[in-house]
Amino acid sequence: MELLTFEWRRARSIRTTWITSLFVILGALFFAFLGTVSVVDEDGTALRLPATDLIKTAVVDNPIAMVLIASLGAMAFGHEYRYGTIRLTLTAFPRRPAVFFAKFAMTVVIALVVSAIAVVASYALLLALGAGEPGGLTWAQVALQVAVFAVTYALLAFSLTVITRNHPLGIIGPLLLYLLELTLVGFLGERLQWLPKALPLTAMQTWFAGGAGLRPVAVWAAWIVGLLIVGFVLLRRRDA
Amino acid sequence: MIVTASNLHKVYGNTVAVDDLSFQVVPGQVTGFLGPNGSGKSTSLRLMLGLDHGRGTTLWGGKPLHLHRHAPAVVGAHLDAKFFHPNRTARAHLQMMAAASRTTSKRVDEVISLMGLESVAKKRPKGFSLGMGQRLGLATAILAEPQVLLLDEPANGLDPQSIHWLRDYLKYYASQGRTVFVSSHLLSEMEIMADHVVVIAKGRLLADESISDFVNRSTTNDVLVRSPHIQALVAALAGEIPGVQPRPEPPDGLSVSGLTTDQIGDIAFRHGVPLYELTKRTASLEQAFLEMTQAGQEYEMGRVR
Repeated sequence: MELLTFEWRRARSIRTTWITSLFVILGALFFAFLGTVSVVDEDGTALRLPATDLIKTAVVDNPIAMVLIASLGAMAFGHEYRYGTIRLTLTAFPRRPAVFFAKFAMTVVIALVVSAIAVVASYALLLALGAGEPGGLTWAQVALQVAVFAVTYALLAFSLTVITRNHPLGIIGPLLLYLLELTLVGFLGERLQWLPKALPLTAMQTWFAGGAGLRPVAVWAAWIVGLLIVGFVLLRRRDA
Repeated sequence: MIVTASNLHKVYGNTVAVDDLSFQVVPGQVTGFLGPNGSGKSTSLRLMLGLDHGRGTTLWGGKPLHLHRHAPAVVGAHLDAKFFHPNRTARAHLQMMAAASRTTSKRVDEVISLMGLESVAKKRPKGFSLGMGQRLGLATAILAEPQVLLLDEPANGLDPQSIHWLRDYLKYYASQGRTVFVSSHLLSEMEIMADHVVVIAKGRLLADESISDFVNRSTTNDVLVRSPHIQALVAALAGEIPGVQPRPEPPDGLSVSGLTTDQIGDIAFRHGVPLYELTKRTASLEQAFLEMTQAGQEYEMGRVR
């Protein structure tokens, strides 16, 4: 229990946690607002896009939101390695698996809470701005998609940070991975038709767009779990 | 709590940083950990704490650290004066570590006061001097009042008053039946502070003994004799103790190694040589250390002539 308390105090005692969380929420509000006023028809009249689609775009499905959510995931280990405090942490808690799972749990909770607040806030804004009715998905389904995406994307950044022990790379790594995937699919997608289905972020985008059932989620989850396992093993085996 | 390090061994590439190092640190005294730069002190400390992986084991009261239910009560470590998040205030840092060590806010306040950190408690360490960073590191180490204190160069950057305070505090801490293990290159301080030394060079153990035994092994221990008849004294010593090689110390002195003041006084008396002075000179820890580690020096230092 003290390890979770320690992790909570570690996270809450630096401004970056609060500022990044605030930016995720403000960013969601900004992009939700932008989505309601920026899309117009031929007459210049604002189109009433489905609010559920707008929320997905506003909270997680844009590069800025992706970087901010990755920041929430990367800071669990990123600050520890960057400033050497990992040695204090592992001296106080010599069981490394416990440290890993406490940080994992704290990352999940923070990403979940922040994305939930962002969804609720942008939902309220969209209602106030008179956005369109929900599209093909219900509010609950969209909220679940956004939460799953935010948490797992944060965990992607979390695992990349443990693996590389590099905080900035943990933040931008997932976005670079996404760009790499887009490039690969662009060049090889037609020849290797299985490729888009096997790449993590492309698979996640497919699920996010509401296609191919749960298979893309399974692909995405397999990548995340795989990277988490690599990070876990490296944390155990490497010098602090 | 007895700390037993056995066969610690660490290799970086082709370099053996710590080579089959074994020693024991016992409670009730301050044990100094000495060695030239690059001799493997810091690596040894990290191996002991399980931060670095290598061969060998360290038992803390008979158990590896990770098998203790509450590690902060076993060992408080201070390894570097910069291991803080630069934007987390000193007090928040200690509050965070208090969660790890199951200590209260009251104890945090006590430690802040004890370390003289009141004026910077709400400040961020990014602006701290080296000395202030050392104080915060020490505050972190003693927060849970652990059975063992393990400190790596804690006096670096401290002003003379703080070093004096640190020396007294560590001696007091050890006097409470706790174990204190301190690495330092400030040998004059260590001579006053430590009761026992573990000396390493090139990762190998050179000495594990009391300070007095360590110093007494030095060949620079000698006796200074002053006499108005120095040649007669040299002849008397050579006549009675074959092989003794006194060295002249102008204007009227001799440095004699390998004999006690009693022996020299008796010889002088038997030969009717008057003596003006008969002084046992003991090597300093620094002299003994330099002598012992000369062979193990990783980097030859230019001699001051």
